[in-house]
Amino acid sequence: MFKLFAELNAKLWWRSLQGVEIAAMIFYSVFIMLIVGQFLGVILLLLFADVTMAQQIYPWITPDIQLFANFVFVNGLWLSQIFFTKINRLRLNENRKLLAFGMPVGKLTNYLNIAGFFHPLNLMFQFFWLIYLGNMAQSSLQLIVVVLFILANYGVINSLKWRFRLFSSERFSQVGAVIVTLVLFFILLSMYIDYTPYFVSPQSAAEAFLGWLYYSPGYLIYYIGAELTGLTEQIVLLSVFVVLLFFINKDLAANTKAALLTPVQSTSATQKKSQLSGFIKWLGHEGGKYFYAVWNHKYSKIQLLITYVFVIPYIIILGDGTYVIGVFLTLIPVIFLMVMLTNMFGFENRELLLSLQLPVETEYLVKQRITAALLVCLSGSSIVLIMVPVFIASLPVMIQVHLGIIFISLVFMHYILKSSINNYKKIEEVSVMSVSNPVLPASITFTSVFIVTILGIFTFIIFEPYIWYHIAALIAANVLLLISLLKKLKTISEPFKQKVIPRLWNEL
Amino acid sequence: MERALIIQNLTKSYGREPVLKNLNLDVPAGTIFGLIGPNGAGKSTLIGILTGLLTFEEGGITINNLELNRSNEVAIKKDIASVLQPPLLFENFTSIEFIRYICEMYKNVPDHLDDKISSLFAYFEIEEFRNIQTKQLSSGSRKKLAFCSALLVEPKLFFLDEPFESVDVISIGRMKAVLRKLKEKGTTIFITSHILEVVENLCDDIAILHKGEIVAYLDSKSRRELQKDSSLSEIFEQYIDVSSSSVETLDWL
Repeated sequence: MFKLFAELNAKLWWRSLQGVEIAAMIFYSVFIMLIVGQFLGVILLLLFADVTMAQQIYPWITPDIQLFANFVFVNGLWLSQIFFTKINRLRLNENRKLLAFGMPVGKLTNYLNIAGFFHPLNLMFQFFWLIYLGNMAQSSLQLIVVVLFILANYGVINSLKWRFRLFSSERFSQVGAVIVTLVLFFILLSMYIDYTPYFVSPQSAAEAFLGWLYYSPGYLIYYIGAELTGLTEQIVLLSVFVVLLFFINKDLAANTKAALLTPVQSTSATQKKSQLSGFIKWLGHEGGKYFYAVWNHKYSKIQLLITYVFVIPYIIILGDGTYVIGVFLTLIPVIFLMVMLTNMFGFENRELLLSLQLPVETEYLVKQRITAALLVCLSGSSIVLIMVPVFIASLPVMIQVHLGIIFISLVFMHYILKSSINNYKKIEEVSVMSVSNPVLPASITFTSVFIVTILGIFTFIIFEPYIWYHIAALIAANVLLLISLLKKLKTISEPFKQKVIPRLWNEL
Repeated sequence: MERALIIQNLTKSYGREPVLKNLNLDVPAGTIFGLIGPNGAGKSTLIGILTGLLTFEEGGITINNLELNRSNEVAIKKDIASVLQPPLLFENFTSIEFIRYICEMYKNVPDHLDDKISSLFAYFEIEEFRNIQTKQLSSGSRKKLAFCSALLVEPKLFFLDEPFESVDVISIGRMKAVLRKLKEKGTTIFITSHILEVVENLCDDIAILHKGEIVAYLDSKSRRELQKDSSLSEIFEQYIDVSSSSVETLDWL
C-alpha cells in the first residue's frame, strides 16, 4: 500500500515540474539553505558562546542582551513557523483515487499526514527546534520532552492554521478589517514611539523589553530547553504533551479525512449578494467575469492579505532607505499582478471553453481579459504610487522611485504574459483543505520577490550626481517595455489558440 | 432540401494520430440528426470543431449557408448553441446569473425573460437552484441548466453531445418533448451519442461514425426499411467490427 502511495506521489511531483518551476525550486532551495545557515550561525552564537567569550568578538554583549536575543530569536522563529508551516497534504484529488483502489481511508490519512510533516519547509523548523532546544537539554528525559514539544507544536500550528484559512476564506471581509485595524494601530504606534535608541544601544532595548518578553510564547519554549530541570516538572509536562499529542493527532486525522472525503466544499447554499454585475459594468462582460472568478478564488484574497500584512511592517521598521522603500512598495503591485495575471487561462479552464463558443471573437475575449487584469492592477498600483510621497520628500528621488516601480511592474507584465501561455496549469478546488493555488506556489512567490530585489538594485539606489541620467534611462526602458507589451497584446490570441485551447479541450 | 450543415473532406489529427479522416456529412435543416458511434470514434472532436473550439487541418464546413472560417466565426456562432458533455457552466455564477449572461452575450435578451426563465426552471424542476452557484449543482441539474440557457438564445442549429447522460428519466422525456417542439419550429438539432436507444425514437436521420469515418448514413426512409428486419443495435453492429468482442475470450473470468 505504501509503495503504491509513494510511487503515485513521486510520479505526480516529477511530471508536474516545468522549466520555470525547476528554476524557481533552485532559487527556493538556495533561499532555504541561506536561512538555515543564517539561523545556525545565530544559534551557535547564542547557544555555545558564553558571555565572556562572545564579548571578545562583540564587546557590547551582556548576559541581559544574550537572554534578550534568545527570546527575540525564539519568538521570531515561532512566528515564522506559524507563517510558513505547510498545511497541504500532497495532491489530495489524485491521492483520493487510491481509495477507489482499495486503500483504507485511515491508512491513506496517516500517510498524507506523515508526508505533510516531512515537507522540507516543515522539517526545517523541526530541525531548528531540535538543534536549539536539544542542545540546551540536560537529561535524556528533558530531551524526550523537547521532542514531544516539537511534535505538539507542529500539530497545534497545523490545526490552528487550517482553521484560520478556512475561516478567513469564508469571512474575508471581517478578517481583513481586523488585520487592517491592527496594521493601522502599529503604524500609529510606530509614529509616536522612537525606536532609534534601541537600535543604537542593545542594552537599553534589553532593559526595556526583557520584562515583557517573559510573558511571550517564546519564553515558554525557551523554558522547556533551558530551565525545565526539575524531574517533577519534566514528568508533568511530558504527560501534558502526550495527552495533547493524542488529541492533536486525532484532530489532524479528522481534518485530513474530511478533506479526502469532501471533494468540493459546500458552503452556504444561496448566494446573498453578488458583485458580478458591478464587475461586468466596470470591466466588460468577459473582463468582469474573469475578475469575478479570480476574486472569488480563496487563494487570491489570502495572497493579497498576506502580502500587505508582510510588507507594511517592513516599511515601518526599515523605512528610511530608498531601496528598501522602493522594493517593498513594488512588491504590492507585483503580487497583485501575479494573482491577477498568472495563468489567466487556468482560472476558469473549463468555463473558458464555453466563452469561446459564444458569438464573440477570440481576440476580443483574450484582450478584454488581459485589459481587465491590467486595469485592476493599475488601480492597486496607483495606491502604491500615492504612498511614495509619504516616505520620500525629495522630488527627483520620488520621480526615480515612481519610474522604478513602473519599470519592475512592466517587466513582470512581460514575464507573466509569457508564463500564462507557456506554463498553463489546471486549477481546481479539490478539497476543504487545499485552499492553495497550485499555480502560484511558494517557490514562484519567492523567486518573484528575489527578482524584484535584484531589479531594485538597478532602479532604486540613488547616485546623487547622476540621478537625472538614471531617470532618463528608466523613462527610455519604460517606453520600450510598454511598446513591446502593446505589440505582444496584439498577437497574444494566436499562441493562446495554439497552446491553451487544445489543452483545455483535452481536460474537458 | 436545404442543408443546415455540410461537412466536406474534413480531416483532424491529434499529433500524428488521425481522429477524423476525410469525413463528409450533410445534415438536412429542420430535422433531428443523430450521430452515433462507439467510444473514441471522434464524435466529441467533431462537436468541438463544429462549435469553434478546435481547428482542423483539411476540408470545409458550411453552417447555415456560411463557410466556417475566421471572418464568419461570430456570425455562425450567433445562430448555434451547444450542450457539451460534461456541460460547461460559469462555476461562480448563480443559475440565474448564468442564464442572463449567456443571453446578453448573444445580444438576445428576449421580452419577458424572467417569465421565460421561470417557466423553464419550473418545467425542468430546477427552480430551487435559481440563486445557487452552478458549481454546487448536481450533474443532472447542470445539464438541465445548460439546456435551458441554449433554448433561450433561440439557435437555428443546436448541438447536443450525450444530452441525456446523468439526467433522470422524467427530465429526459421533457427534454425530448422540447426538442421535438423545436424541430417543428424549424430548428436543426444535432445529437451525438453512443447510446442507441437515445437516438432511435428521437432522430430522423442517423449516421454511424467509426474510427473517424462515416461508415453509414441512414435517412428516415432507409431506416424504416432496414429496421423492418433488424433493430438499430443489430444494424450498428453490422458496421462496427465486433468480431473479437465475444465474452468467451474472457475464459479466465
